[in-house]
Amino acid sequence: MRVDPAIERLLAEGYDLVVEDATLTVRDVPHVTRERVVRRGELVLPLAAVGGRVLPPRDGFAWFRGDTPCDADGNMLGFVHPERTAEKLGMLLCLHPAHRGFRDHHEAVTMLVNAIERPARSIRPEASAKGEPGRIAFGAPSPFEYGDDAVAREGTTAWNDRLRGGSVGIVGLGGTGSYVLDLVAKTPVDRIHLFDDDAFLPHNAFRTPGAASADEFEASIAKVDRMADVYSRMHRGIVPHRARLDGGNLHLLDVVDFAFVCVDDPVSRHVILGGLRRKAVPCIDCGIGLRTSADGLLGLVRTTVYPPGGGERACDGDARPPLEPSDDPYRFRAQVADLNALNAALAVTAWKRSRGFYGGLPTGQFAYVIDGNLLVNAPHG
Amino acid sequence: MAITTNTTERTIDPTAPGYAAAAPDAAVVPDTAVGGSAQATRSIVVNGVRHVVHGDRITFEGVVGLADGRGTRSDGHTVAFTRGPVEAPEGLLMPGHGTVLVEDQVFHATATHEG
Repeated sequence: MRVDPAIERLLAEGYDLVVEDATLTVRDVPHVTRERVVRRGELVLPLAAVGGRVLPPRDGFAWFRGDTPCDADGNMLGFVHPERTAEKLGMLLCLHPAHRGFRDHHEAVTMLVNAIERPARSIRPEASAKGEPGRIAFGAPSPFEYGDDAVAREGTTAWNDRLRGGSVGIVGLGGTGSYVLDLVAKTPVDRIHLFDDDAFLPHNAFRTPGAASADEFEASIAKVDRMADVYSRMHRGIVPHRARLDGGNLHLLDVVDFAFVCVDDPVSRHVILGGLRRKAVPCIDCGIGLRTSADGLLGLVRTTVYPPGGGERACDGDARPPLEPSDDPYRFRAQVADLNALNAALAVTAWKRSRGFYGGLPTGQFAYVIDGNLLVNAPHG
Repeated sequence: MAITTNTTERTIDPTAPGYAAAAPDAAVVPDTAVGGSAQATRSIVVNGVRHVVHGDRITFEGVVGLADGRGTRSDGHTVAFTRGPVEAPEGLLMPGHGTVLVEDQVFHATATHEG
């Protein structure tokens, strides 16, 4: 990793630094506790980069892990806010030069460390965050091409950690699947596997997040390749599989430990859900059903959560294929990107709940009733 | 809600599959029996069409039967209801399960396979 010049200066001055998860941590910062004892803590600053250039810490927010920093008499320093503590980051610090933000991380670290360790020096003159030589360590590789500075700036690291890791599969990259990808790509999972065998055509653009340009259709590129290209700008580890999953290639799902099933063919849905249930892979199945009326389109937006462990459940009936072709108007007459986005958002919300990101009881099956503007749940159990 | 304005009405045979007697202990429970109390009559709305049904309960399969007019196909459907009994005024029905019927209860039944 290329090191920012401001961080190079900190390193040359002897600081002990860690770069990880869109944060810069300065270790061994001496500070005075309420008991007027000198201890060492860690200063954490947001670290965001755009185009390879590190952005200066904009608003003077930083965090401190350790005892509450105090003056030499044991009175809490005025820029310390222990009432705002974030898991993993520590207590909030709010300090910046008058009437402006910091120029760079060197100025920010210098100002914050001086303010924290100055009282410590009045008790122990040799106390300093600087050693000889300076050190820098880098954390585990990020799943993102650039860091989310809001994670450190707003102290949300611990919540994001609940979604960290694992391989998520998205089966079917139509309207709903593409919106699922849009949301999952903003989470720190390790890998996102995409399964679809269709080409990306103009009608797909009208049910896909973002705005495709006309020249994207000229080469008849596969949906999975197009979406992998777009979202790899942000998230690493996106793996396209140009394949229509059926009974002969379900082994492709062996690489995922969670799957969103967003296909539009009931027979494929039946086969894929059956395969995932046999492998005991937890999954969420999405589906929209529309019908016409004089008042407009009516119908349901369904989300079905299959927890780990496989086996039969009451909602497994949805995995059975219909006995006759669908007369659903969706396929022929309506673009409903809003319902695709809603289905995807409900599915991703349920997945995040299953990972402990959102609270509440695990959900089984639920549906949005379009004409009732209502979200209804199946009974638990 | 405008969905109740469609006036196609059907009177349902209480002995047809999908209609079961009311369960005393819960509004939504698994149904293993069919049949019902012929004396009870309810007017309900399924996919915007009003139906007159006899009996105290209706099952997932019974709702799908009313929705598609053929009364047999239910696999792959999702069935939701609103304006239901006080114990469960709204919810989803699972295959093999049913709900207590109340007057003017509204059902939505459709295959939900599109992505």
